[in-house]
Amino acid sequence: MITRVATSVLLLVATSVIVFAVLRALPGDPVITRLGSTQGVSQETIDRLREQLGLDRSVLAQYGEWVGGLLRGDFGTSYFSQYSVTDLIGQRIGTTLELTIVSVGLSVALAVPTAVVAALRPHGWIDRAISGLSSLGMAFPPFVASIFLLIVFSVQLGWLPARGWVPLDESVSENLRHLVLPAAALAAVASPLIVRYLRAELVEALDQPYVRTAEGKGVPRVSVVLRHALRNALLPALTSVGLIFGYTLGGAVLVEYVFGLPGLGSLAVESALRRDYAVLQTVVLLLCAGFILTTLVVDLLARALDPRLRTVNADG
Amino acid sequence: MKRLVALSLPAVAAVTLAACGGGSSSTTTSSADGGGGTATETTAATTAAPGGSGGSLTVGAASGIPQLNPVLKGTAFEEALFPLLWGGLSRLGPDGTVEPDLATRWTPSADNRRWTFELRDGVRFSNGKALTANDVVETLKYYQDPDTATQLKTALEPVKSVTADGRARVVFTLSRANVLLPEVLVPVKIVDVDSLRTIDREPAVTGPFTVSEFVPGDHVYLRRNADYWGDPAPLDEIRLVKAADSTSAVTSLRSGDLDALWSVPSSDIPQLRNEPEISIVEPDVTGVYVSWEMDLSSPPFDDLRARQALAYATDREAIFKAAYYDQGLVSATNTPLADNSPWFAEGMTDYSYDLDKARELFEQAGVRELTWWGVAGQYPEWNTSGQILQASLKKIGVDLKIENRELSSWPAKFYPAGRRYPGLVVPNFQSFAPDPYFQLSFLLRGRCECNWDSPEFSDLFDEAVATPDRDARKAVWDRAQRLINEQVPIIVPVQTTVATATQKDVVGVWVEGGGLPHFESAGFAE
Repeated sequence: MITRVATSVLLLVATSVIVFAVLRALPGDPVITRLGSTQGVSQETIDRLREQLGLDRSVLAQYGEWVGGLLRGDFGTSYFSQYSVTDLIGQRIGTTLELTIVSVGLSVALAVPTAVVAALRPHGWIDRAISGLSSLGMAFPPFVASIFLLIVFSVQLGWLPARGWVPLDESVSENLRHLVLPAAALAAVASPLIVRYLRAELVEALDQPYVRTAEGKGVPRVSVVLRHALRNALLPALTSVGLIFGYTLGGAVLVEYVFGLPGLGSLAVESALRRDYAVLQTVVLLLCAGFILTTLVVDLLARALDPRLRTVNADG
Repeated sequence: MKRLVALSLPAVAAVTLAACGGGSSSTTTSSADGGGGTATETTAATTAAPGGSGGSLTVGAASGIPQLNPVLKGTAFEEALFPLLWGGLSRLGPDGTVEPDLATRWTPSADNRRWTFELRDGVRFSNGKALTANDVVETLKYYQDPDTATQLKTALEPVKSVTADGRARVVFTLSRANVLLPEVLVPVKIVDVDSLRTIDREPAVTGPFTVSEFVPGDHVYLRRNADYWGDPAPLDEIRLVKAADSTSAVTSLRSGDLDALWSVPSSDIPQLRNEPEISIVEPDVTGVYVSWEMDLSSPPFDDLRARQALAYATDREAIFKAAYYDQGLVSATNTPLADNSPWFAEGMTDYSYDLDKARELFEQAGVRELTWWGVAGQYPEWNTSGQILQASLKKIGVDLKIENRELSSWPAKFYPAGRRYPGLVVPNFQSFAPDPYFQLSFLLRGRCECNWDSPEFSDLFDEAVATPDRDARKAVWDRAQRLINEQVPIIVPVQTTVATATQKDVVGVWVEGGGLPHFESAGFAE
């Protein structure tokens, strides 16, 4: 367990170096971006602004300052407003978390019954149809699904808003109306992954002796599947849900942007376009940390739930 | 006046949009009786009479608002926000005239080098502080501070000093005569310098609205300012929100999620005009012109023949149709002012498409290859223009290489003014009030990245600005335009518009010549 946590910390450190280095390697200059190519600005003004933002210092010094700040809980300040990165993240993290959690929940809610139905008759026509649809779903990037949903449900039918966000504490119904399409777009892509994984586990589980024993005892098929096979298949599938959580978090970046949701994803895109390194590097690190933490928690949870994993570890 | 280097980057572009001032319309010299300028032309359009009362208006744009300080404005959409929050000494009215705002009257000295502004009584910032002459003085100091990276620096460069004469009178002393100072000051918003540290969180404003919620880059929600000194705004609330991009913004307008959309893409305007639920608001006389910049300080464009050749090789009609969807006007004379402007000079050389002349001049100048330095992923009209130019140049043996860069790295090659970029043609556009003062100021030394350094033009500019009589001033502006027409410091293929689209029930919206929308009097039809 200590090794697993240490690996996660090392991953986080490596991520911070990569994120920082990649951003600095990108062409573009936040100072010019901030000035908006204002006419009549002298090189002296540009240099002064660069100095004010700390961009005149070496990359190593900038990295040291950033990491030092992170350790002190100071994430820095945006180059473009007086807001600290902490405040900017605080304004938006709720939207991203809500979108991610609802999307993952929706994905699981869609995937589990679908996988069960598919696994009941492996290689039957329903299984094949679900398999085909899953492949199609996985082929769709989240932003394509977003645009498709947007055109159908917002523009053509006018049922749901095309953009924007209403916080949960302002109006629950409006919050849900604004959440439906983005969450559906993410779930449309994430749930097929869970379906395929869970279906494979279920088919394997249904082939186990304990299933035959249960059926031999006259336990109804549905009960066998739900009470015995599914319970055993869910444990390995838990790992995939962890990965899906990370995948959804990543997909949320584009989905938020398409639907105009004020979340971390759109903050990351805007910061990237402006070259607001101060914000972007911390947001990207936070998203990576979210993914690393989720997989860590899932791993630890799996170990806690599955005695075999603990045994393997002890043997190892 | 404002200058747009690039309009809306879904976020950044905003970036490049550089504004140097808000902008006022063409006016004659301001009257000494305090009535403000005397309008000579209408530059703004309005959807209807000021609107009904109450309600919330959602205005979208493809660029967000990253910060609230009007002095540091860097993106175009911010300019739609600032008149809602802050007042200046003067402002632009819906009919295009300059009118009193925080000042009730202004008086120039006989030589137009000293201007006295009388402040309105009873104006308070939203933090309760009373507006005094000292606030104006401190604001101007802040604008002129070398550490303040404001887009108005060059516009305010002739202001030698600003002093308070009591609590309610301010005196501007200029280094050279300027009969248009009230117009120049329209975009200068008076701020409470003492509260600058919290301007993004709790801005102290003097305008008809205050900020109720601000998420940088995403949205700003405004509510009616109960303590506003003037007539209360018709609307309870205005929400300025960012759309992912222009396509998504138009979709949101069509679906009714947006009540208004600023900077509608040219490609969508013809279709939106035919939609019964949508109105397009645009000025009668546009102040937006497309500018292709070249470096006049290095070969080949230090040679007049190369510039004239490029002007003749530009198929303006084709570009107007294919890239700008017939929105605006073709600039046959290659000058900034639109030919429907009352300030447009007659009798200038016509640079209509003529490849024979272009070939001859390019050969004389020895030009065989050029590079188009555009922006990737945005401004499709620029790319289309570049392709049309490329095809034209190919016919006369000149190779035009098209290179497009991502917006944030695009300016590095040619910005700021003074940088050398031999052989590059840089597409761009400028957005100003239609008055020649603003339209032509871009070509002054040190402002245009074209690096045109013409003492003759500078002298004409100064002479025009110092000439109170409108007809006499027009004669000087005519000479300046003829010089531009002859010297071709930039290529101006078309004048276009920055249009705002609204739902049909939105009224009271008007747009300046430069495309800046005004929602101060907006409302909903009863």
